[in-house]
Amino acid sequence: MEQNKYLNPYIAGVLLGLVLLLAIFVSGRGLGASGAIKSVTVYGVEKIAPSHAENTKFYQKYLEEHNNSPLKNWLVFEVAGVIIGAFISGLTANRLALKLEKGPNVKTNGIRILGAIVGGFLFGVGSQLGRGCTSGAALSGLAVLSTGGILTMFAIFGGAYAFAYFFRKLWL
Amino acid sequence: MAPLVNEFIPAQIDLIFAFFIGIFFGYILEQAGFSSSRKLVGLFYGYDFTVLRVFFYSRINCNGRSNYFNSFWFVKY
Repeated sequence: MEQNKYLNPYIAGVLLGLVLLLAIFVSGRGLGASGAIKSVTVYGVEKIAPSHAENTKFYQKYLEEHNNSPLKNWLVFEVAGVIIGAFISGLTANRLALKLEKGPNVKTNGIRILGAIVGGFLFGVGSQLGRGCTSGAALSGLAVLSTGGILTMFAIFGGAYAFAYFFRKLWL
Repeated sequence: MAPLVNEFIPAQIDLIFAFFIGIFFGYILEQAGFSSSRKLVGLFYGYDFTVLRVFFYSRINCNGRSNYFNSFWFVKY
C-alpha cells in the first residue's frame, strides 16, 4: 500500500501548540522528552548499582524528590504515550518499517549508527547542562517566553548550523 | 483556575492525562514527518524546513493563547 503524505507542517504546528496549551492548562507544565530518559536512567542505576545510587548525591536528591519512585513521573508517562502515539500514526499512514535513513554517500550502517550514538550522547549531556532538550526547553520554553528556553533553542539550532558543515558528508 | 491539577484533578489522574497528552504529541510529530531523520536534518542543509515550520507555528499558537489565558488569570506561571 502507498504511504500517506505527511501532514501540512503549519497544521501540525497549530495542533502541537494546542496539545502544549492543553498540557499547560491541565497539568501546569510543558511537554518534554529528556527528563523521562533521566528518570529511567536513575531507575536503572538504582536497580543495577544500588550502592552507587545510595552514595551519590545526585541520585539521593533525585530519588528523594521523586519519593523513591522515579518512574512515577509525568514525563515518563508522557513519553510512553509519545511512543504509542507515533506508532499509531505510522500504522495509520502505512509508514511502519524498520529502516535506517542515511545520506546517499554513507555506504555502511556502522558509520550512521556510530554517528547516532555519539550525537545522542552529546545531546544527552547538553540537555542536562541546558536543563532541557528540544521539547522541554526549546518548544515548551519558547511557548511561554522563558528566557532559558529561548537561549537553549538558539544554542541548539545555532550549534547545529555551526557544525552541520563539518558533518555534511553524513547527510548530503 | 488553572492548572487544573492543583484544584480539580488528583496527581494520579494527572499521570494518566500525561500518557494521553503523549499519545497526541507523538501522533502529531510523526504525522508532521519527525520520524524521518533526513527530514529533521534537512533544516541544517537547507533542503527541508518542516521542523522550523512546525516549531514556529506551535510556538505562535501556544504563546498567543497562553498569554490570552494568562491575562484572564486562567493560567498562573
